[in-house]
Amino acid sequence: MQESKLKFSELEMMIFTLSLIGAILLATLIFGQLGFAWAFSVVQILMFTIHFVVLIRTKNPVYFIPTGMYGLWGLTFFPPLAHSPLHEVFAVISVFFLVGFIWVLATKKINWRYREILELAAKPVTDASDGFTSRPFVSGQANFSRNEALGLARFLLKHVICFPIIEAERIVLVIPRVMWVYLLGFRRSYEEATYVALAKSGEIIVRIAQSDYQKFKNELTFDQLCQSLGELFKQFLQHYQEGEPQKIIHKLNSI
Amino acid sequence: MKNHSRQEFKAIQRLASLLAKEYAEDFLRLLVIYKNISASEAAARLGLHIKTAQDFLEGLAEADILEKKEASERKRPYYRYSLKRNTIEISLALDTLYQPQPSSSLFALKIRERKNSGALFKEGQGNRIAALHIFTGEGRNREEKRLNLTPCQGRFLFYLPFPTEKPLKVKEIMAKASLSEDCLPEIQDLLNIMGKHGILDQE
Repeated sequence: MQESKLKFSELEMMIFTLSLIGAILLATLIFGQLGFAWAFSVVQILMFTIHFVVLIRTKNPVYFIPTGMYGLWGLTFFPPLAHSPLHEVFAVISVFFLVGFIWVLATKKINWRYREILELAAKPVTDASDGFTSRPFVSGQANFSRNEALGLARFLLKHVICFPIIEAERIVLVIPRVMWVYLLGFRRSYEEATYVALAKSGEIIVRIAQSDYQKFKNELTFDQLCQSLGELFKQFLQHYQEGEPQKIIHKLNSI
Repeated sequence: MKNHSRQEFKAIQRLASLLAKEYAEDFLRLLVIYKNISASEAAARLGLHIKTAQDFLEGLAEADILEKKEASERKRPYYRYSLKRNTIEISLALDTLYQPQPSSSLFALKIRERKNSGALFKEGQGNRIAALHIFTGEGRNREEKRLNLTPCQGRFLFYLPFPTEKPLKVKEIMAKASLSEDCLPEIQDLLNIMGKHGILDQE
């Protein structure tokens, strides 16, 4: 297995997860079993809401599994429903969803692909001469129609690989570290984000944000890194045009 | 701007500033009425301080509008001023303010962004850079200067080679950016600024 060229990049999600665990522990310590039930069910309802919004935005039916699991856990542990006749039904069904969720995680079906994309982009780059600039890079031309670009954008959104922002002259595929920020509508612009844009003129434009460039262990030669990221998306586009978009997933899973 | 045109511009600035004085019209009328006049006479007539009148007259004499002759009365020498001409014309050829570099030499200039230049580029709509942020000084004296770019400059900067890329000729970058020669003066100005702040590598 090839050594990763990236540093640890999951800090935001780790802080989010630890905060939720911390909140549950604190509630348990202060209020005992009832505190645990309240805190745990509130966290599950929060996760249900997040995944439900993602299900709506991505239209990916796989998200029905985590949405259902978190929803049912929320209902199972929600104290006012503790004596409901449906309580045990929720708990039993949630076990099936849990099994489904384990399958979803094992098959990387809802994984964000930030790391994989940057790893694939960095793979052919061996020089480390830095040369970072905040300007976008024109990585070449490709032949595609707007409909093909839109189709690719929909596919990448469905599989939470990129978040597309549609403009009149181009389709911007943002590669966020935390996909929820875009999916939940906290951010709408690609300012200071890493993206690949498919322009109407056929140009493939790449911009790697400074914060993402700093995630690499070495100061990889910047124009080569941008070029490589552009080439990667050209391959994605080609797979989509050839009617084999699943090859995009296989490529990302190869990392 | 070349030296002689800079001097001409300064002279026009000085004259214009004299003519912009509140008392200038009355003063000039006085100079038309009187065959010649001293600073103290003019000051008394217009209710000005003698130094103010003296400066105004000296300024017009420097601009070659007045003739200045020494006179003596009760041992103390002083000057009397008279009009040398009856019209004041201000003419400024704006072309002299900008001497473009010959386009052939600018076209042939090979450039790229300098590594670790510290400049920040704000992207605009379409393939162009909207603004260039330049940082000068260090620590507490660090200052940020924002340059809003014209469409020509923005498109040119969008296609400027990266610091680790091979430098390209200005002509090649302009071709990539689909820019016409009309944009050359704006691009030259941008390159001058970038060169001055160490953002460009030139060959």
